[in-house]
Parts: sequence; structure tokens; C-alpha cells
Amino acid sequence: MSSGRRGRISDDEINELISKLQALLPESSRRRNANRSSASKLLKETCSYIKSLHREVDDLSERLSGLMSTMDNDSPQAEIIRSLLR
Amino acid sequence: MAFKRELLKNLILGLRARAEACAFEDMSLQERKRAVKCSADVAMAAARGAAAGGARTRWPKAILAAAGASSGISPGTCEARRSRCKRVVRRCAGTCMKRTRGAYYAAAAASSAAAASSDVVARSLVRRRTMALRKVIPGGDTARDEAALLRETMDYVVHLRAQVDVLRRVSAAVQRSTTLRKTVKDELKEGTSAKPALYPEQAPCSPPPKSPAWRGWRQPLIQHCALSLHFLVYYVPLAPNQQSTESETG
Repeated sequence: MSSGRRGRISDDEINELISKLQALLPESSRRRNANRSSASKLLKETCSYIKSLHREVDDLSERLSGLMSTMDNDSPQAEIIRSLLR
Repeated sequence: MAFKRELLKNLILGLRARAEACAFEDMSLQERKRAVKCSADVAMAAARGAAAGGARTRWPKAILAAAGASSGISPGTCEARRSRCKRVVRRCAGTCMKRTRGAYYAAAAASSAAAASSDVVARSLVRRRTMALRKVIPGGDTARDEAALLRETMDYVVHLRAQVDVLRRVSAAVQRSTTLRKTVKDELKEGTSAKPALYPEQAPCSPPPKSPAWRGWRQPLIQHCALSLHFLVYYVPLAPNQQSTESETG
């Protein structure tokens, strides 16, 4: 990589970050990439993982919004939450 | 743990503010879902921004800026926070944008010119994946370089997982207490004794299967219901999973 910007980023630093990122990914993809830490594969796995997390947030939001519509503002739960946050 | 607690607090405050501005019952299913998702993202971003090291990350500011730009509902406190965030993001984006985009493309062009063919293929693949990653991370396109992008990615993944966990627990808690509440309410109706002040009048719902054992446990059950969320938030140890989310989010 050329340095047209302040500070040169070494390959070592990139490799270290890549291996740290690999440690964050789910167990299954870690096993798949056990022997080869190919950067592009890892980036692809990371993208798919983040997209799957986004989908999960979407589903949970849908579920929570459905549940909340049956919950009223004066319910004991809301009162508890209010008292917890005071 | 502190991050999840902060996220939960922000989430609840955000949802209440939205509900006060526009009742959930008046929203369509899609609008409701979008409102909850936006509240969750803003809660996550605000919690991260307030935590140690949060100022160094870009994705929280990007989320807050996007939320501020797209939101049509503006409760008073949120509006002040959003306009502050907009100013911060604008300042940051203004100085960063010209520098990073130019530097990034110049570096990419230079590196592809100098490399051998197989290297070129590998690098172009990495570049393509990096561009894809930038699209997926909020504020990813303003990241200085690959190292910064990778650091943002790691930070974002860790906190995104925490958000998923909190949402899951909140959904489960609301589901449990809604079910419990309906059961207890029906039992109270049956008992015809003075209703406790906690329970306001509500539309009747279909009674669950009756069990004599419930009657003797009414009072402790109400208390249990009240405490369940309290326990959830403060006393239930957040189970360590394979990726050790706990140690990362603290």
C-alpha cells in the first residue's frame, strides 16, 4: 500500500486487525477459515454477518412493536421501567 | 453490561418519547416497526457515544445523523440532541470527506499500477469487499483507511450484537409480563375483590385456562410480575456466549 496520507499503515497492523476481526465472527465461519486467513474472504464473511445481525434487529423490532401495541402506557411494567430510570 | 444497561435505558426513553408524539396504535405495522428499529439504533449509538472511547468511533455519529435527518417526529429533548449531533457530524464530515476520498482513491490507483497481475486481482477483490463493507457500516464511507475501517467494523459488530441481545431480552420480558398480566387480571375479575391500584380498566380478553393454584398466589404473583423486569435489567447475569460479548462491551 502506498502512503499518500499521513502515517504508513503496515501490513502487520492490517494482519493483526484482520485476525482480531476473525475472532469476532461466529464460530462456524471461524472453523471454515481456520487454515487460510484470506483477507477478502474474511471481509465477505464480516459483511454477511453484519447483514444477518441487521436482519435480526429488523425481526426483533417487528416483534417488539407488535407486543408494544398491546401494552398500554399506564401498565405496571411502564411504571416499573419509569421507576428504574429515575 | 454497562453498555447494555445504557442501551436499554435509551431504548425505553426513546420508545416512550415516540409513543407520546404519536401513539403506536395510530401507526401502521411498517411505521411501528421502523419506529422501534430507529429507536434501537439511536439508543445503541447514543450509548456508544457516551461510553469510554465512543468519541473516537464514527458509526454512532453516522447513525444519529441519519436518524435526525429522516425522522418526522421530533419530541423536544430528542430534537436538541439530534441538532447537536447534526452539527458534530457536519463538522466532522466536512473536514474528513475531501481528505479521505481523495487519499483513498489515489492510494488505490497507485497500488494497482505498481503491482503484478495476480496481486492486482487479489487487491481488487479486497478493494471490492472493502467497498461493500463501507456500505454496511454506518459512516463507513468516511473511514480514513483500511485500518480505521477494520477498527470501526470490530467496534460496530460488538455493539450490534449487544443491541440484538437487549432487544431479544426486552421482547421476551414484555411477552412474559403481558401474558402474566392477562392471567392475573382474569383471576382478579373472577375473585371480585377490590382490584389493586396497579391495574387500570382494560378491554376484556379471552381468559386463559383456570387453575385453582393461581388464587392463593395472587399477591406474590403481582409482585413477581413487577419484579421480573427489574430482575431482568439488573440481576440476571448476561450469559457469556462463545464470542465473549461480555468482556468486550463491559
